[in-house]
Amino acid sequence: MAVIQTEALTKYYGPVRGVEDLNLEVEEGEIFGYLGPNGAGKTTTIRLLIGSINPTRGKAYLLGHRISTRSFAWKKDIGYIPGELSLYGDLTGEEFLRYFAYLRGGVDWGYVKSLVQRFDLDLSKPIKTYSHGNRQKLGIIQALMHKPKLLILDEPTLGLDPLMQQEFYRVMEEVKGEGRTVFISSHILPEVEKICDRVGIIKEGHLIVVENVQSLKAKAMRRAEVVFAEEVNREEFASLPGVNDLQIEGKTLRCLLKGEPNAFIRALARHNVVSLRVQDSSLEEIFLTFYS
Amino acid sequence: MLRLIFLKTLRDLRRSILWWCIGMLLLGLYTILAFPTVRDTFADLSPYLDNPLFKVFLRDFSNLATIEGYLSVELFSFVMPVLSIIMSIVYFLGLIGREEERGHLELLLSLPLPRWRVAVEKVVAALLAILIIHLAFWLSLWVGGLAVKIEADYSRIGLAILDSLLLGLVFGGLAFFITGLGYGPGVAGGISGGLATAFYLVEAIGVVSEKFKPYRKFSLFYYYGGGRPMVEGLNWAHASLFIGLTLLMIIVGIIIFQRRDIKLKG
Repeated sequence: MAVIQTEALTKYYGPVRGVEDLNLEVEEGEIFGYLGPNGAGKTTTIRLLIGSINPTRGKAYLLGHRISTRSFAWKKDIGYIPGELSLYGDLTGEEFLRYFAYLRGGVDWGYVKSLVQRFDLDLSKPIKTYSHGNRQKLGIIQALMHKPKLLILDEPTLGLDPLMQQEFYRVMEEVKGEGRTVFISSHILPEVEKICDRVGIIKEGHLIVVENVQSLKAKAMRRAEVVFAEEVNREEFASLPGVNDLQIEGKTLRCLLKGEPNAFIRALARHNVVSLRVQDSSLEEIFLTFYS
Repeated sequence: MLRLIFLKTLRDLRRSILWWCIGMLLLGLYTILAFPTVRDTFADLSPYLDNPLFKVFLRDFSNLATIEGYLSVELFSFVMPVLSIIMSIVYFLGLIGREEERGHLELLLSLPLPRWRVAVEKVVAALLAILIIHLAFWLSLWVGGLAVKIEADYSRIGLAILDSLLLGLVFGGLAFFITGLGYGPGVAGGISGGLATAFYLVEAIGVVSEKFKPYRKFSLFYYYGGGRPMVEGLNWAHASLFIGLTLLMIIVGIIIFQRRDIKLKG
């Protein structure tokens, strides 16, 4: 079942493009990473999904409900962290969480306490005295506290220290383990690589790829470095299928491999290989490939 | 305990309500306690008050020796409606406008609440705040009047205050309507305050100039009684006009707010 579904979802701010013809499906129980540089349309997509803004055309469905700025019942099953988290500075952390808990119609306060403990947050202080990281923790707790079926998180780990980031990843794994769904936008690509099942990459308002993280990596180029016992002929490797960006310095060959590496391996077998190292591309490199 | 947006809004306004109440209490006490002195001083000036220029400020009252005439000049002709208008504009432009400007609406509207409920709870809180402040003002006149033994119909003074409050609410409703459209508090305050000033000038000039007299009906100040409710009672037709305009702008503002995009933190 698609928890998030968009059909040609488009948003223009006057003449300025936000996103265009976005067709996206996020399945129940998956963690979906949404990637793109600043201005690509990530936040616009998220704000369309949460009903903060109206689409210029197209439709969006969350948990089977058609989204609009007027609909709201579906929001009981949504947890949300906006990209620019703005909280009520004059409330204490506890007052804020209790206020939102009441407006949500009640939550399990024991669960809230456990989250507070895990994220090591002092709720007794006014929010205006919180550091950026602590505000972010409070935002994460408010998004999680009612155990929503779907979490929509815009840069949720922004400002968190590495320990808290790890705690956040653990919570996300638990959420996924419970069959709940997460839609996460992030600039931190190792984070996306670590926790996401699938990613969507958005470029200039258009969704250019939606792919399983592992298959995306499998399809991507691998960096190979081979040290031979003797110098090798450049032409022998340059003409091989799938070999890109070939560099030979003395007895060392470096290249990028795309697709099946069989021809490359057969060519290597004709020589005396001292060492061989093949490295998968990181998501970051894949991401940059799409943007280069 | 904050269980409702209404209570949270009142909490946000609590310091402002307190300072407004203190200010209005002082204004009311100062005005009423000074009356015996002013009455004695101005009693002899009444023959000169037929000059049309005075009527801009005094309306139908020409006798400062009466509490009604005195309060009309000192409060209800200018000071009180101006304060009511400023108070209403300040409170109403912040309900959606300031929350949106600070980025609070984005998260609040992610909760399972209809936007109209968010707006209505905030409006009710602002109305209550404005009512409390006007009530404090009426109390100061009543207590001060009792202290210096001024005989007056305090319920009718209350009606004059109510008239001023209702006039103010129209401009507050306008400020709310403008923020409902998506404009910021600065624009809402500017337009509402500017329009109030323009209306006042139309009425003021219309009183002294025959040429401008027909235009008075286009000014909301024309329908504002000044001190008259203390003598004649409230003109309910005019009061209904104020209430109707206020409700219309609030309702239309909420309908538009329901449908429009929420802006990111300004």
